[in-house]
Amino acid sequence: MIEVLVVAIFGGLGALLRNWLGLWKGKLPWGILIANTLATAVAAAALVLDPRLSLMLIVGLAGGLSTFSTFVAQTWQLLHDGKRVSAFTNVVLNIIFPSTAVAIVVLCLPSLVN
Amino acid sequence: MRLRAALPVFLGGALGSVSRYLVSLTLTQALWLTVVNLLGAALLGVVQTSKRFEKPSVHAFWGTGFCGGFTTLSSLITFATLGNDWQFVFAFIQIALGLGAYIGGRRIGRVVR
Repeated sequence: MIEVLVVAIFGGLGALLRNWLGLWKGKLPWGILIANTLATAVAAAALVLDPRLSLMLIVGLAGGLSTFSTFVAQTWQLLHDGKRVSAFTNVVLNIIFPSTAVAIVVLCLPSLVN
Repeated sequence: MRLRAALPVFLGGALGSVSRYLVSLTLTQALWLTVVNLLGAALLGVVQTSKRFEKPSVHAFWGTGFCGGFTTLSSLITFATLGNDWQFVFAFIQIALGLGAYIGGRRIGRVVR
C-alpha cells in the first residue's frame, strides 16, 4: 500500500513539473522534449545509484514527468499542419536526447559518486 | 500556476502513475510498455476530441494528468538504450503504433460525444 502512495505522490509531482515545462513551445514542442530528457536522466540515475529509489524516482517521478501520449499527439499535430520535417525531427530528438542522457548518466555517474 | 489548475494535473498524474505501476507488476517490460503507451495515446486522442472532456478541469485531469502519467517515454528509452539493438527498433515501432492509436482515439472521440 505504501508503494502505491509513493508512486501516486511522485507521479503527481512529475505531472505538475511536466505541465509547467510543457508551456515552452516554439517550432518544436521543446518543453515536452526537456521533460522527457530530464525524466530519462532521473530514471537512469536512480538505476545507477540505488535500486531502492526506483519506486520513487523511476516509477513515480520519471514516469509522471515523461509522457508518450502528449509526445505522440504533438507529433501528429505537426504532421497535421504539414510540418513533416518538424514532426520527424521531434521523433528523432525525443529518442536521441533521452538515450544520450542515459548513456552520460550511466557512464559518468558511477565515477562521480565513488 | 493556480492551485485550481494544478490540482487536476497532480491528481490525474497520480492516478495514471499508479495505474501504470499496477499494469507493470503483471506483465513483462516490453508488454506493459506497449499496453500503457498505446492505451494512453488512444485515450488522449479521445480526450482531445470528445465534448465530454471539454471542461478545463476534466481535460487537465484526464489529458495532461492521467494520460501523461499513465504513459512513459523515460522507461521506453531506458529500456531501448540499456538493451540490445532490437529494443531500439521496438521503441521506433511503438512510436509509429502510438500515432495510429492516437488517430484511432481521435476518431472514437468524435463519434462518442
